Amino acid sequence: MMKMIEKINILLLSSLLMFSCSEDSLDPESIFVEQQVEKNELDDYIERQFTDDYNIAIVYKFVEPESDYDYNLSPARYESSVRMTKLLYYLGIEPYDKITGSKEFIRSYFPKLLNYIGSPAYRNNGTFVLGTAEGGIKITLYALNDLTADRSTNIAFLNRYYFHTMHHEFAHILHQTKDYPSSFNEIAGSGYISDAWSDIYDDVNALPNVISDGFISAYASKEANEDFVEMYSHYITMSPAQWEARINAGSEVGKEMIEAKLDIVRTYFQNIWEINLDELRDEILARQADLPNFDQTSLN
Amino acid sequence: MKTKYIIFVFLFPILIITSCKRETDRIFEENATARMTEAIADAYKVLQSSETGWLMKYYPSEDLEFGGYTIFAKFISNGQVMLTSDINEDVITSTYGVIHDSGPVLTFNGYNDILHLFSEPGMDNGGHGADDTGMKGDFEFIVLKATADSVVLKGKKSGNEIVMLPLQNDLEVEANAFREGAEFFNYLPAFELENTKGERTFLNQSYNTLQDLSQMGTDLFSYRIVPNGLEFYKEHEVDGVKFSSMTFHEPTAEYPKGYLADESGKIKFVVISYPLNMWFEVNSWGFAYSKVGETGQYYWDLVKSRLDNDGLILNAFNIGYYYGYEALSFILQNGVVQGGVTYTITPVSGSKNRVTLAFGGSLLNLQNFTAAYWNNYVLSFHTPLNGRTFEITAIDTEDEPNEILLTDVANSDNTFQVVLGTVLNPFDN
Repeated sequence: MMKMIEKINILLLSSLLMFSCSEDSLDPESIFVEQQVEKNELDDYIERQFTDDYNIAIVYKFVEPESDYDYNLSPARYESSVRMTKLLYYLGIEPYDKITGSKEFIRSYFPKLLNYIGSPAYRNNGTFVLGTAEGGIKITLYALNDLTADRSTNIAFLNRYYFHTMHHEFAHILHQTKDYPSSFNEIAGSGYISDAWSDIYDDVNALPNVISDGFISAYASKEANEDFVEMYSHYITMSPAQWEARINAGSEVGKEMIEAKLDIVRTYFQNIWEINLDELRDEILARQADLPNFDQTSLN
Repeated sequence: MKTKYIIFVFLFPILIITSCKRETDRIFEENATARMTEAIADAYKVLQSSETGWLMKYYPSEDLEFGGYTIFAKFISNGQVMLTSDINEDVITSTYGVIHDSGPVLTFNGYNDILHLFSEPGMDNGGHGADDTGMKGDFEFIVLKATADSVVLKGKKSGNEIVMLPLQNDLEVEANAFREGAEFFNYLPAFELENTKGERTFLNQSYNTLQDLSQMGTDLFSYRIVPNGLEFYKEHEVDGVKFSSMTFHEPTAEYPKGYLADESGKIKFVVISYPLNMWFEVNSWGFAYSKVGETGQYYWDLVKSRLDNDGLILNAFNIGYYYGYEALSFILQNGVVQGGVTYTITPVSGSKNRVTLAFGGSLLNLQNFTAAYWNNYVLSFHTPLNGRTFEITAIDTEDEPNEILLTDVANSDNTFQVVLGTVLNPFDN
């Protein structure tokens, strides 16, 4: 009997406690109320071309939490944002669609968030950051305000400031999704020098040293992953003549190392992603060459 | 078992009573998000409510070392804003938003030359402030108060309080009045602070600030130029007199160039002639061989022999203002070759008669003046000038003299006596 009462007590206790708090019901209204801000042409274009088809968002207005607090940054100009968005589609997205035969590849693997910043991210030593990627989700492109009408068809500028960064970061996502063969790492072996890369190599003023040691760029000497994506991003944005000139700038040994790495990169993209690097490069080059005829400002 | 039962019996009421007892009453009726949403909607409404637009008392940087500027803003929709200012006549439209952040935050999230000049890194803003931080201005502001008669903002980075007032007149009319005020004020050469006892101290001017640098710990007067005077960021106190603005007064016998005074008239910023170093900076001065000191003559002889070797003639050599630049400038070959190099002339802060000279690094080619003329012939002229500080002494009259003597503070043999304007054929004079 006592046992019974005890059980009843416990039951009663729990039920009483539950009921006693029932007045705090959930507020039927969502706490996330979105303010309707009028949409402009660029908003519509991004939604149509990027969000609907690829599930990609472009943050072209400055949003502080998306930015890097370590730097003093300015927003992007509207006109530069329009140019970048159109160029990104033309030089960055469409070539992959064409080579892979569908929008699925970009939709599956391309970063979901692109963030535009107007100013470069200056460090206090005078150098600056051109782009960053975070966890395969987001790419931040800096110095958008340097993209003006008179620079808009300057291919070297566009690649150096934006597209090289974009392909570089995209390639990181791809190899993080499906890794490349470890034989790639063995070519340079102990040649990777981590953070000392910028002290030891300089590909602007002393390219031959970089090439002779088997690296396509100074940054490639940091580690194998960087090397891999630097190989990729340089190869697909350079003409065959430019590529040849670059890899012949140093020693024969260095050139052979780069070519051996290129073989692995080429095979990897063909086997894993069914992307023929040369076809992709031709597509990008053809588009670069046709830039003067490409309308960067209309959003229809 | 009985004890357990008893415990339960006593415990019930306590548990039931305490379980939902509110310790305090709610302070707000609505929950935080609902209030934030309302504040944002309200801010949007207020900003767009002034049809003429707003006058914004903008101060970049927490330390206020760049002074303040008046920005005029018209919020055209809930996404677009039109801006202009007292220092830039362009009217530029860009995006803005009021967002949910640390309170409702007004953000000018699209680049606009008018406002973002103050937030650009120094590398890109024409060299104002440090390379990475620039003028440290805000373009994101916490909305502290938004009503039809004023909007009070707080800069997210600087923490500066930025006040916006609705415009009474048309935006362009108001903006022009401020631009004219700025033009007038900036034309005034220099200032001295006059206290209640009539004592004066020189005020060093840098951007829109004035400060007495002769002693430590003096007030930095960080101001905006308003039509007919100055308005300060905060209230200042001199000799017990408190003031937060000053009005311009026309010249009198005692103040021949006019003065600014606070409301009581007890504290004045007296307009004075250019101190010698600023007078030197804003004019162009001609050199002559006979007026060059012992140190400089050696270098002048070097230049002379190089010119003679190639049969070139030097017609004039000047330092100072040159077609909008500060420069060393030359006329050669009877005027066929004209140009120079930029030269930074910096009045020493807190001093009226010291100036530092430094090679600016850019070639100024007015006519046929190629780098070869600088490198091969006249370069040695600048060796006794570059990176040195000179003390200026007036020769003819103390007030805006026509002839002055420059003496190197580190080497009394390094002197140059220069005259306002040009000396023809410097090697012969």
